[in-house]
Amino acid sequence: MAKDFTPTDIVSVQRPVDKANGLPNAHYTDPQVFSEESEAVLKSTWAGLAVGADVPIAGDAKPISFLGIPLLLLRDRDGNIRVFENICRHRGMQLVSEAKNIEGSIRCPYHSWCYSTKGKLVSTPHVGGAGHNTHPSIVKEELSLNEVRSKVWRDVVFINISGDAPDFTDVHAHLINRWSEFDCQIFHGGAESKFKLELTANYKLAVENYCESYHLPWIHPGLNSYSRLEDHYNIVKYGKYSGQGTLVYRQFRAEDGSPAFPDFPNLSEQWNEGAEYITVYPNVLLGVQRDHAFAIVLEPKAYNKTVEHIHFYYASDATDSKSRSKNTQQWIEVFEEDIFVVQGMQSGRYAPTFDGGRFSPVMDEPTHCYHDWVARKISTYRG
Amino acid sequence: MNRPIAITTGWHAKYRHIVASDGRDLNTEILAAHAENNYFLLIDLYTEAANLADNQDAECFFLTFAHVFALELGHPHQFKLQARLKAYGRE
Repeated sequence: MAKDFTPTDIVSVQRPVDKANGLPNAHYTDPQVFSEESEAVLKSTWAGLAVGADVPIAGDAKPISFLGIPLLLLRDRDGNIRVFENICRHRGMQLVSEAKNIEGSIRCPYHSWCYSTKGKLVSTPHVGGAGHNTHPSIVKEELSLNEVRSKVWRDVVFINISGDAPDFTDVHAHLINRWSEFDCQIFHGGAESKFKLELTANYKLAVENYCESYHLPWIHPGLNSYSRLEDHYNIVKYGKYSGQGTLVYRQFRAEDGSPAFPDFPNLSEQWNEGAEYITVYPNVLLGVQRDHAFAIVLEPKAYNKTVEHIHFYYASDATDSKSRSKNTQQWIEVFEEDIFVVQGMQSGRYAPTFDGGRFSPVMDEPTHCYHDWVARKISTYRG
Repeated sequence: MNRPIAITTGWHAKYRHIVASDGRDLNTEILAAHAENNYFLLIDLYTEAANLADNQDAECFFLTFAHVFALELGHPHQFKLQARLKAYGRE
């Protein structure tokens, strides 16, 4: 942190919702504050990095830069997803520069040190001189790739950069239990079931918009005919997660009017017309419905740039491709309707007298819950 | 000429201009395979160069390349190449 860095005042954020302000402007407009916040909020917790479907086959490797950190998402020979720092333990050279399948070992393109897909250093060619591939000072067991803690839940790959967060299943026990009926095998819909949106906005604004249903009748008027504001409810668990639910979800229908996709197995009646949309703090937006689910990983590119990686999942790997495409298209229209809002709030954050705004105690509590959580993390980080 | 020329100064120069038993210039073929990133072919060419080497250092030098490319590809020859290097205490 630069010497002239002045910590933001976040006391008012943690007041009760009827008296709280939102996070100060600097959390959306100041690279230094973004840097501090990244340490406190994105690196110290379980942040979403990618989805397992990004590396569907054993040996698949995908380089990903996360907050400037070069990472390698990799499905190892046994099918387990791992995340490594994408650098050779020798001279720090980037190991993998583009997505590919590792057929055998990962070979560093510089001096050809080789690593297994589990990160183990397996060869150090010429390290002891030409044709001498060992040296007493180079102990392979001590030079495995640096692995980043990771946990896959609902196909989302979460990472804990700091390495000291409590276990994912402890942190998110309440949510995991809440959605236990959806704890079944899910199938990514493939190429026509993913897309990405690039936003000129801070990632938190995408979360804030996703959490609340207050905006639905204005931004998504197409929903008003069957999914009215009063059909939604807030989901608020301070210190844990927030979002919204609906009581009138309708399945996606095929052209003949029948349900296009099979339901997830073993769902109770609650989910016949119920659906929930929850943010797994800090940057993953999840939705569960009886016939399909989705995951949105918000990639924080910079304080004012975000990429939304959106993926759809089904209960079967044999759903109709045409229906999947139509479903994706329907969601694209909804998510694109949100872009101007999120980017408009980003622009608004440059107004010098804006104090973070006020919350409707009735409608905005999920958003306040998120701000409160961010403020708590920052307070803890500042000590 | 059926044997590699072993130049004694510098390990880059030491192993150049290897001529195969059928008269092919292995050095040229190896460079061409590198240019094409043809690792399967490189495994064979470096193994052939190792087989032609007239000293243990040269043999292990070439075996190392063959072994590394075999490792990268998950090629079944990786095990016997590694065994040859291990036999010389080089792996």
